[in-house]
Amino acid sequence: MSSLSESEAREFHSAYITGFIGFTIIAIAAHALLYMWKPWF
Amino acid sequence: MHRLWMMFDPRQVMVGIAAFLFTLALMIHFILLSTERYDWLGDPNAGGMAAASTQQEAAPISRS
Repeated sequence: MSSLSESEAREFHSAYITGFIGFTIIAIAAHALLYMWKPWF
Repeated sequence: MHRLWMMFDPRQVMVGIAAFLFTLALMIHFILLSTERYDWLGDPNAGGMAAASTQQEAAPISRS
């Protein structure tokens, strides 16, 4: 159990999701570039 | 979903995710470096699946 209140948890969650989406977009871009370089299918 | 962070300590989760992703990335990069096709530091003409290229010496020009 962490000591976060509901509003703190909500606040952290929105930042977490933003970071997750950013990371996912970068990962997709990296995979697209790699696939353009040398496709694996 | 946000109630997750009331159950798990955000700091611990973030450190865990960072350690996991770093190890995974390091592993994937080394695996790719060990292959012929995706080794971006070795011989750029190594080929891999697409082209097995062994350069052949051209026949000498014959003058008679």
